[in-house]
Amino acid sequence: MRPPLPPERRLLALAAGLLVAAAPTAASLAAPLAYKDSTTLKLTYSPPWSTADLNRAVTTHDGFGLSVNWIETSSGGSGDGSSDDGGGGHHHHGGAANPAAGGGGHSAHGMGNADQAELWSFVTYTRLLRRWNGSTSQANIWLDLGAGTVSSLVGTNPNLQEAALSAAVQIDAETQRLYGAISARTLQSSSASRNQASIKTGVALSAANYERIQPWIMVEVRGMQGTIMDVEVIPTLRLLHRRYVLELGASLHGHPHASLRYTF
Amino acid sequence: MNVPKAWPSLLLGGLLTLLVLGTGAAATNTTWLLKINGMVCAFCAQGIQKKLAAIPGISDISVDMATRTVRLRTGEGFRGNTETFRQVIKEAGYVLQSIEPKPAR
Repeated sequence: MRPPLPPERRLLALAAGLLVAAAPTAASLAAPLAYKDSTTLKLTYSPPWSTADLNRAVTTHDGFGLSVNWIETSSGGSGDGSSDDGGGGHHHHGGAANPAAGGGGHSAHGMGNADQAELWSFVTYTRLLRRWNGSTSQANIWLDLGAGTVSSLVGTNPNLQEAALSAAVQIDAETQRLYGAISARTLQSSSASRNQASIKTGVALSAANYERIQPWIMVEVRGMQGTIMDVEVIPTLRLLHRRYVLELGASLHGHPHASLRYTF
Repeated sequence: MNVPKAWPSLLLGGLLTLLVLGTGAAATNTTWLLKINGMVCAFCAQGIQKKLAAIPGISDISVDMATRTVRLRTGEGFRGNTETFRQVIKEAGYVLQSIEPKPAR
């Protein structure tokens, strides 16, 4: 039995405290599945796009769940995420869920002022398309599809509610020391389009250990069309233990980031 | 001709391994070492441990991330065989690379 590492435990206590403080405002994201008959919860507070996902793996490769995305937008629009209003041709709902409808230009790396917020809620199906299990590595291709609604809860059109669809793909690979992933997600309704692409990489600060927390340094670069922020770089500290993966950090723009994945 | 003094033990161990692996039957009161492909993190290993722990008659499960192995003991209540391990590891999302009986620690 190896001796405990007090610094890690102190760090975990601090991280848990911060996460508890952030959790009440957390919203959604699609989490990969764990193992057959398991349930995975993932909460990510990462404005302007926060998520909450709950997935039940019914087989090793298939899962069903719920996904909620809380996205902050601006009526002036910093993104160009419009799917069908960008040309100014027709407006379904006055642009409440479509920041680009107002004709705002694309501001790379820019941040608008969030005066609107949308809630995208989906019933999801997640499929592990392919997994490679190597002797010292693992790689996966995930597909996530959803059907649900989008609501504009804050903003100029608080009564907006319409049908929406979501699709996401993630490719990831990891060893005991290195992690890398690329992913893309799109949320679509008749009057709004929100898209996100992400590259994430990380390195472990210690060897993998079943008894102790394994700390990682992670960096994510994500682009988001249709939100108040187009491109964001998010360095985080990842703490990985048996049932949970906790990430804490802040973007280079100063936005806090907290994420918890827990498997029941 | 030099014959190792330990040859009776080696012979017995070899016969036991052939018997168990050849028939697919896992002996009771045996400690097993499972080497698993894809088990790269504790999060992965936890799922494997949980799946194995749900099998009646299995106890003393321990995980070694450095060697990517799981050690466990099959007792009286165990009714499975080596294929049981392979299937459970598969359901957890991983691949059983090898399995072999080990002397109890």
